Amino acid sequence: MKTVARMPPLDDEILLNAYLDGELDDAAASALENRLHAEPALKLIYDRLEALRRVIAANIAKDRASENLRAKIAAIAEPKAQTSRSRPARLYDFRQLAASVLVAAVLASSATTYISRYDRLSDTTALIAAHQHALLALSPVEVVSEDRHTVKPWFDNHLALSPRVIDLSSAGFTLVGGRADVIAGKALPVMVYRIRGHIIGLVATPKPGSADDSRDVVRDHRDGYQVLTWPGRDFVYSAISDVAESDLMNFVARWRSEAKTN
Amino acid sequence: MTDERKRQLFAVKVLPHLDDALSLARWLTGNPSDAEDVVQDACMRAYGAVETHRDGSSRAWLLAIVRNAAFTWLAKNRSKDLIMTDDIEVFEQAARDCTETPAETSPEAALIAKTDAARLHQAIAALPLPFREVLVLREIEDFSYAEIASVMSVPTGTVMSRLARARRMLLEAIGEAAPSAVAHKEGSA
Repeated sequence: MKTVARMPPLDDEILLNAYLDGELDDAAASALENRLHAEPALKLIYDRLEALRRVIAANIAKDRASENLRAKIAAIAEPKAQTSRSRPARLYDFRQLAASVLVAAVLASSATTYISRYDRLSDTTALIAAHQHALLALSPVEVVSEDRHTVKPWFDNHLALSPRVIDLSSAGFTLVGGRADVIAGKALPVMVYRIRGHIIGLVATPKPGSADDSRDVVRDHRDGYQVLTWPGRDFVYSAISDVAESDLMNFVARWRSEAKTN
Repeated sequence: MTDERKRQLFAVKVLPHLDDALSLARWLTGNPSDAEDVVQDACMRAYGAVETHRDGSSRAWLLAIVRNAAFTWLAKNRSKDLIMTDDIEVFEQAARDCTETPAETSPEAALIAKTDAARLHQAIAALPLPFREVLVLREIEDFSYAEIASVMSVPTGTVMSRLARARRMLLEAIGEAAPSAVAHKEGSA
C-alpha cells in the first residue's frame, strides 16, 4: 500500500493562495519563500496553483459587450424627461382632463383643484413604470430593513430627503425597505411595504412652494395598478400597488392616521 | 443636480466597465443573453445611484451592483441553483472536513498547463456559485482581496478561504477530467 501524500492544512493553502495573489506583506512573503525552499510538498502545491493561474490567464478571456448592448446602456442616461416634455401638449392636457373628470366623479370638488396642482409631480404613468421596473427587474428595495430607523437615515444619506417612514406592521403592512427611484428626472425616496405577497411602493415627492391645505386623496389607475396620492406636511405621497383597491385605501388611511398621531 | 451631470457621471463611472460587468454577469448566470439582461438592469440601478457613489473604485461599485442584479435574477429564475448564506456555512464545513483529499487527485503542474480552454471553461462553470464568483472576481476581473470583499460584502477572511477552496476544486475537476494522465502517473510511481 503506497503512502498517500496529503494536502497541506487549510491555513497553509490559504497562505499559498495569498502569496500567489500578491496579498502577503514583505515579512510574511519572505517567511513563506523560506518554507517553499525547505518543504517540497508545499512547493508542489504552489506550483500547481501557479500553473492553474497561468492556464486561466491564457485561456479565459473577458467577455466583450456588443455594440448593441453598449448603445442600450448608453441610452439609459439619455434625457428621458425631454421626450415626455416634447410630447404634444394636447396629449398631456387630455390626460390631465381625464384624470380631473375621474376625480371629480369620485371625490369632492376640492380634489379637482388639487390634482391640477400636483399631477405634474406625481405623474401616474411614470410612477407605475418605476414601480413595475422595481418589481420586474430587481429586488424592489436597495436598503432591506423592517426598521424605519434604518430606512429613514438611508434616505437622508442617499438623497438628502427625509420623508416620514411609518411602521404599519400592526395593520399587516410590513415595511420591506426603501430605494431611490428616478421619476421625471428627480431622484425620489420610495418606501416599500408588503401585504399578502403584494408590494406597495410609497413615493415621497418634496412639496413645491407653499403648503397646501387640501387633505384629499387623489386616485388614479392604469394597467391594473392603483395610484393614491395625498399631501403630507413636507412631501406629497403616492402609494402604488396592484393590491386590491380596498387594501390600498386601508393602507393610505392607516398611514395618514399614524402620520397625524406621531 | 442635473440630468446632464448624471449623464457625465454615468459616462465616467459605468460605461468604461461594461466588459467587466458583462463578464461577471455571464459567469454568474451561465449564458450571454441572460447576462445582457442582468447588465442592463444593473446599469439602470447604477444610473439611479450614480450621484451617491463617491469613494472607492467605480469598477468595484458597479460590479457589486451587477452581482446583486445577478443574484436577484438567479433567485427569480434559478432558485434551486442559488445557495443561500446558511447553506454556504454548511458547505464550507463539509469542505473543511475533507481536507484529507489525497494529493494524487490534484494533477501535476505540467498536466494543468495542458488543460484546454473548453475543459477549463466547463470546470469553472461547474463550480458552486459562492466559489465561482470569488474565482471570477480574482482571476478574470483581477480584483484585490479587499475589493472582492467589498463587492461581495463579506470579510476578507471569507474571500481567502473561498478562493483557496475554489482553486482546489478546480484543480480536482481538471484532474478528474484527465483520468488517463493520473493512471499513467500512478503506474510509474
